[in-house]
Amino acid sequence: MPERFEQLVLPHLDAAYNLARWLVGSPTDAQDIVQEAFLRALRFFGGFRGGDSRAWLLKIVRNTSYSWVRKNRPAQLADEFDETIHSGETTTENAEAKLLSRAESERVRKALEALPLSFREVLVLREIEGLSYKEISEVTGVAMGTVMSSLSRARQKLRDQLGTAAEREI
Amino acid sequence: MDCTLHRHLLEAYLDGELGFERTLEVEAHLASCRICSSEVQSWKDIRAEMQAPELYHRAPEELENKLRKLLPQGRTERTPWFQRWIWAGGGAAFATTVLLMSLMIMRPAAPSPEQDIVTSHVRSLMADHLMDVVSTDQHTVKPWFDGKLDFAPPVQDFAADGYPLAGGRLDYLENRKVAVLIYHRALHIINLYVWPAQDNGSFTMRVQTIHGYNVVSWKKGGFEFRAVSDLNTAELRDLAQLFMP
Repeated sequence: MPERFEQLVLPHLDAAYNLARWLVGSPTDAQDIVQEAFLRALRFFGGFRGGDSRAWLLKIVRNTSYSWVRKNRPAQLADEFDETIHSGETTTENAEAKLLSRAESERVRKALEALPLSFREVLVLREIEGLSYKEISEVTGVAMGTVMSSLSRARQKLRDQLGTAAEREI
Repeated sequence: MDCTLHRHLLEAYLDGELGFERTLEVEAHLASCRICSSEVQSWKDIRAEMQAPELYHRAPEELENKLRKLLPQGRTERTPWFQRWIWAGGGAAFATTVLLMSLMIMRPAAPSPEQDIVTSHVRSLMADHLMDVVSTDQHTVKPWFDGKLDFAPPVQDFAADGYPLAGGRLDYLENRKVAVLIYHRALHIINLYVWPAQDNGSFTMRVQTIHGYNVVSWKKGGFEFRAVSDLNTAELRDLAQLFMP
């Protein structure tokens, strides 16, 4: 079994770490969470009935991250803007900065980090990790329709945060 | 502002979640609706930024090492061969094992070329330069590489397993010539990049998704392999599995 575990689960280590890192913010905490999630995964592996091992692992990582947040940062679970991270500087960017893709992704990173946990999560899974609606639904345990609507709201929020919404009026 | 297209439909289109007919419908609409097409473009721009490599947190090497050490002590029925060796063998066996393990644990050296590989994959599909040699016969494809490369890539046809070989191509990555084998899986195209590894170690598969393409990496028998496709990760991994019986 460890051989199978190694082949099916370990290849998704980057995905696991990326998700945990986005959910909890700190590299050290993310490492602890991934380690705990792997131990859980190892314990539950007997119950894994094949299928999408990435979604299966990410679900465990997600649950572990949420337990951690509930315990250590309960305020984050309230759906509100994190004003401490969102410093408002995003609206003053000039045209030059737009040309620099590094500056752009930095801007996006800040905007993402400032989003409430549930919005950040669905965007990371969809846009950064590239999961389908079905996979996101497996990871987060919500129905596909709910995935669609929360993704939609998350996109709106991110765009508000980026201050680009004004570009699209006609 | 009299656009009637449902916003959810537009997003499902963006996410590639619509069926064939619906996709055509939305595309027809986009061609005539400025509001929706700029909406789609604006999100595609944000998406491109979100997929910048700086925003993807790769697992630190130390974490992988730590997890591998935890692995054999789990509640498992079978002990992996290397641990059985440690208990069974003496000093020499132990030394060999340590060496083997350190090789196994080793990650691919240098910055990962996955990003370049995805770009190369997309280019191969766009520029109509997918194959230099078109053949489903491994005995045609393999000799074709002779004299064009300074190594002989392992060429195998897996038609019986549902991954027929379609041909080969030369490509250029990380300042060296690499072999590319093209496989089909139903309607999907898989580009498999092969080049000599720095050493003889092997590492287990890694799976990444870059710009919506899945990349499975592995190292085996002195070669680095990167399989890229829009195929799902499970089936792409199955192909990798065929290379390491």
